[in-house]
Amino acid sequence: MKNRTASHPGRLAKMKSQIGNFVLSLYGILGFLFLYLPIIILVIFSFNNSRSTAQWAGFSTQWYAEMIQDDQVILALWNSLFVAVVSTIVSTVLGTLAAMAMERYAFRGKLVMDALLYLPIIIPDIAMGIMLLLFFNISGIGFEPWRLRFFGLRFAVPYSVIIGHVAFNISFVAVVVRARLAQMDRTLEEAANDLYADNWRTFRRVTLPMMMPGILGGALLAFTLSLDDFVITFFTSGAGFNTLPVRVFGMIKRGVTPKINAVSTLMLAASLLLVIVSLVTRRGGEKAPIDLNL
Amino acid sequence: MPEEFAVELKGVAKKFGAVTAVNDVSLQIKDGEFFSLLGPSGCGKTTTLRLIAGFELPTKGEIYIGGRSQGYLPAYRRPVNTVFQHYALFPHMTVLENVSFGLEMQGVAKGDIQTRVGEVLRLVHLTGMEDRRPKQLSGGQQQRVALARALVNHPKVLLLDEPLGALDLKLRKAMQVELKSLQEQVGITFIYVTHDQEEALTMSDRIGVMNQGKLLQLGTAQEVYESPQSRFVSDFIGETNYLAGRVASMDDDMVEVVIEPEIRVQATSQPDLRPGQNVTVAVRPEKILLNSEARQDFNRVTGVVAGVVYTGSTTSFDIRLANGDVITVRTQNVGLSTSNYYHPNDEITISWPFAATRVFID
Amino acid sequence: MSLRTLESVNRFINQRSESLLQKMRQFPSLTAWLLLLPALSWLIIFFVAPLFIVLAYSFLERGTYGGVTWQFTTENFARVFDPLYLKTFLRSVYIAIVTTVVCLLLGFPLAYYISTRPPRRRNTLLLALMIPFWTNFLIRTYAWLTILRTNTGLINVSLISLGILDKPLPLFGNDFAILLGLVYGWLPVMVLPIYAALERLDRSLIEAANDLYAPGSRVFLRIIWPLSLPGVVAGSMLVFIPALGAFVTPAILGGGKSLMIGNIISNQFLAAHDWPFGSALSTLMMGLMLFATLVYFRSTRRGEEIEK
Repeated sequence: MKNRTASHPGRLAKMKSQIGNFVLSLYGILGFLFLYLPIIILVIFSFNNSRSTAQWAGFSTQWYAEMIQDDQVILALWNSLFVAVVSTIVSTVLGTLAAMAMERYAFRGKLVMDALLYLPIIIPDIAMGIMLLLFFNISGIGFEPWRLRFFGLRFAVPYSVIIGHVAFNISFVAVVVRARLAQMDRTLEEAANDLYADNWRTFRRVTLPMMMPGILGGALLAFTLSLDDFVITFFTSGAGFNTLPVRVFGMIKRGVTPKINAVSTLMLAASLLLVIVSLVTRRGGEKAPIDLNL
Repeated sequence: MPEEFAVELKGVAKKFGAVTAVNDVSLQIKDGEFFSLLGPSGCGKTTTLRLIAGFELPTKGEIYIGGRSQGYLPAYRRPVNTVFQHYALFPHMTVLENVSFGLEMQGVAKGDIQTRVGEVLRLVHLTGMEDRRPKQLSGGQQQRVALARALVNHPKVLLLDEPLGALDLKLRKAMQVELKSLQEQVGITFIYVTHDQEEALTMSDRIGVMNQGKLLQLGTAQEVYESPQSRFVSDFIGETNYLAGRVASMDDDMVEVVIEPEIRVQATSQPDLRPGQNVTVAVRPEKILLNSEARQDFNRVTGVVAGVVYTGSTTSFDIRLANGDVITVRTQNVGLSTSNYYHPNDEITISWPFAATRVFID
Repeated sequence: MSLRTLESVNRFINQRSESLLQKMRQFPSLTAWLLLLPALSWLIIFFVAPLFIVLAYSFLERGTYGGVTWQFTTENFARVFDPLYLKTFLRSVYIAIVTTVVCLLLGFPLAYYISTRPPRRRNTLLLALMIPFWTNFLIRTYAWLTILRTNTGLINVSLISLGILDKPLPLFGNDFAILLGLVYGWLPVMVLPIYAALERLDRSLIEAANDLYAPGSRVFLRIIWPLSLPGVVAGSMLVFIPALGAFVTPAILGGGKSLMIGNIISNQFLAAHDWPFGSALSTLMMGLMLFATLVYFRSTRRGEEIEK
């Protein structure tokens, strides 16, 4: 009886595993298709020659023209960039200093500090948004942007939005810089000490240059998160102040047209650009995309 | 006077929490000598080196460099330089920048820096590599850059932390020769940490053997090898045969140890021995002669050949004694068939000098 | 200012900074706290304080003109049990759980797929996986709006114009749309930790199991699944928490009705001006998430103990 399968012993198993592999690969491809299809559809319909976002009526760039001429959109874009740049600078500095303290020193209360630094990452946007809303309201800090004149240029500084962005970005920057510090070779700092560099010069000539990739990575992350943020910005914006995501939300509420697709495509392109920049700058010998380990 | 010594440690101890890494170590290292700290991993040799360098501060005791107490001086104030185990070359700087780093920190003039860096690179045979980055160099080249970077500062003492550990065997042997000749050329005191006893024996003027934080023995290579003062040292360096026995009798010069039931061996007397003590007799394999005529001052024991192992330049014979103990004898393969002289089960007489017999108290 | 005054000021500053530097050398933790000071201050003022305000407001009464009166009350929490709100609360939890489960079912095979590709391909695939995640969440949700809408969404328009359907499918303004939006948004986040766990899996364990006569299904159940569990748990946490706190997805795909906790909370602050109630809802939501996080930490610790 055993001999019946003796002539085709591995064949069935091999077929099974081949089918299995095929199904797996198919699933993989479908999975990635699922992730990208909506985005692709969005981009396609931004070039639609009609008001529909679902029926193709031919190729046209009218929506992009309309977008560029829409003052509100341009203003929102500028606001997004301004907030992103300012909050990135502040949060990168604060986050880097914090990361240095956490990775290089042991002190009492470190655990509590650790938890505090992780909270903004874990907390859901909506919770953070409303608590900032409440805070700005009752503290009298308010939401109205400061109007400044700087070398003849007029600026409206939306400090409430910036404060909120910095508040969550500090933690993200700290995580990235900490990771970089942790994998740094400590003996390099000892070597610098051994070669007559005191602690400050060691920091300036050895530690800081080696930390740079991490600092830049953190800054890039903060910039991306700031540009993309909607919920927190939504709750901390003063009346009439829009960043691009907030503006898009308003546009959706008012009526769906391919112009929204156009703005969205613009934002997608910007995100893609940032991803490429981060990959290129990471080329200095580091590993694949970060995953936040929680 | 502490003035004479390049480095002196007095009662130095270092604890990390509950762990004692260095336990009451005192030693004096002479100017211009090649001194090795030898021991197994975790014995405290690296910690001792780091204490001298200033990367750690001692829990107890004093460290003197050139006669001056270092107290709590940080590393960047001490006149010593270190060659690290994994080189610790600054990856974001070129070879030139790496080597000139120490000089820059000391405020040496640009012109002088150039001259001195050029000199030292010539010394380590790396001229022409100035603009390369560490990751473009081979292991051996990186090691030489690390060496140059330290030497260019003309330190009083050069500390080397197992610098050859990451190199392959052939390169390591070549570098050992180079390092030794470099040290003789430059004349700086070298303190060399290693776990490789052969390395220590080849290169050092004196060796300090450490285990579990303690300095067990300090002496020249010959002293440490021929006259190990403890079982550990005898074990760690070279091969040794051990026989368990009891002190039978002793006088001022000689001590007689009986190895049950009937073997008697003699050795030079040691002050802490007492009749009846349980001791271990130790003799190195290469000291033992096979079937030679009786000689004065030689121990003679009979036995049977139990095994023969040919190892190229030497042959080792395992000899089983009357009481079952096995002694290994190592002979040079002078003739073409030395290993064929004796076969298993041949009766044989082995003999070795009294002076080559060590006695350790159990 | 005379030269002497300048000199003495200079000397004063040098002395002060020298003694500060000395202090920093002697007490390294002082340096640490100095470095932390800016970030710490910012977080305390603009994060911890607002958090406590929300917690405090949960227990206060609503004032007549908006704002609060300083009266302690648990009425806000009691109101949560009002059928209207309770229903939404429970539905939010339900939606978050379903999202997590669906992400797990879809994400696990995807993670497995990636982990069985040749090493170089894996990095590219991971990158491809994360790129959508790095783009704006609002936009990705909007994309689904244009696809799912009842009369003007891509699916319905196409199916009707092709004659396959007479009436549009109700794919929008309901739980289905929200689930789809949430799963789509958070799938990459489920895949990553599972992939990390699977990648660490020693292939030889599977071979050993095969060698010991285990069929495919058994290999999965007894070897692959248990060893990937830490990744599964991590991924589930990373999906459940944002899903529970979803705001954008129900706002855009839920058809304008307040369908999840996040929307109700937002309403309390922007429309109803009932800050205490909104704070209480937010506190409850965060409490639920904290509970889930603690469960996660407990399970990882128990997992470590089992490994020992």
